[in-house]
Amino acid sequence: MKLNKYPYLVQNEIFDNMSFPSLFLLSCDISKFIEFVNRWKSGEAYQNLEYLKIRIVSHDVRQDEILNAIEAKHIDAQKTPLTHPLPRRYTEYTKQPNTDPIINHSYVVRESDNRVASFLIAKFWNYQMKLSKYPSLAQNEILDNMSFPCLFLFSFVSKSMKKLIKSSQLQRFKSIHSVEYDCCDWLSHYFNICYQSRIKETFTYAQKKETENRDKANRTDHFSLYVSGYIIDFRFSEYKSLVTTFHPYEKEHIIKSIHNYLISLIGDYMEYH
Amino acid sequence: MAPKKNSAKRPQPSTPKPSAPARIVKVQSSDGHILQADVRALLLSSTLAATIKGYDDENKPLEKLEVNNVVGFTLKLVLEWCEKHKEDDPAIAQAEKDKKNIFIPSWDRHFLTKLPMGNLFDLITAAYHLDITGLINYGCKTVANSAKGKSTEEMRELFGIPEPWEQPSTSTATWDD
Repeated sequence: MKLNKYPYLVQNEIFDNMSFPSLFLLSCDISKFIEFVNRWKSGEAYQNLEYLKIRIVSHDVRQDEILNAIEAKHIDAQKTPLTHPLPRRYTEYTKQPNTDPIINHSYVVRESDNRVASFLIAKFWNYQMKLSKYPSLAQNEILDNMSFPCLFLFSFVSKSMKKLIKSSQLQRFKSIHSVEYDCCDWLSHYFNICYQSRIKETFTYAQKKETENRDKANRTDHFSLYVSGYIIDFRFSEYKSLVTTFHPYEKEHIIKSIHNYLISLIGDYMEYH
Repeated sequence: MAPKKNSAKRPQPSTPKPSAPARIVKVQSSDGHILQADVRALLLSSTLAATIKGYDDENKPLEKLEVNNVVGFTLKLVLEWCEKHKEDDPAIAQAEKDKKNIFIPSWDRHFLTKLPMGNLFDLITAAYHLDITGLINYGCKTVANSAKGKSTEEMRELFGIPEPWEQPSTSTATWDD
């Protein structure tokens, strides 16, 4: 049974009668998506919708243009993003339920009752270069060539990726002598990976949110990750360094969460300072 | 215009090989395309080098090499890369691989980054089939570099990794699978 084989009106009828709060459309026509959102905004259908994610196929369409078309608002980097519990129906096939919440910064308000729904637009997966289709030696070689910040972020992509990183990078992780949390000044804190070869690699530095330029605070290049039980905001600096942004009161949580995550990723056999 | 020498940071062979007359052979792809290549370029592939050595040892004339697991378009790319690197010492590529310290010369960077990701995937897979260490090094490094400065969502898009709840299961029809 393929939903897209049904006549268009029947598809609409099926959607209208759906009551689940979260919906993921793997590929969708942009006009259909905008119509979908407008029907929700006008209260015609999908009353319980809380979160909608679509993957767009076209490379010509910009994500911010679509968000503008549906009059989406953006939660700036100073505020906590919307989170939604992961619906159980999408986790049935996994052995262990994925309990990580969905985190999103873009939302639309339904004016009639001020109900808020999150909307996330992502590009369609690049089926031409699925990493899983590479020979396993090539997968390892690619991971070998990634910097630690890249590996750190890549480990959040999926649980199986984290597992692959842990197993393939064992040698690299064993060569780590210590992990340093360097609070060198009140503006920023550095997280350094120190190798036995005395090479030190800063994998991220944390910067207080209030020190960021207010004009830049609304930028959409921030992304949030669920790091060992705590939602942390990240962005890249102009030099593509990984930056963690936080409020002063979050400092302890941030360090503890990153510390716990690093233990789960690279192990606890090195020193942590 | 003469091609620019652009491997400044890459270690060079200590003693340049004397230039021997080119020995050209035909190479046939899995889909029947026949290409021509210098044997010195083909020797960068350990797989093809073993085949060529087998012919030479038996003094059999080498007219055509069949590459059964690489299609014509990809084989053409492989041969273009090998032709450019036919003077290289394979031991240097192996040393770079062992040290995990790979620097991509600008010609290779341009050659690899201009390729669509699908072609790059085919090229790296072919490099593994043919066991061409240098091409494996540069190809994998290029893919790894493409992840630099990308968020987890962008990495997911780049490497075709769906989120757990997006994976089509056998029991549920997806919107457009």
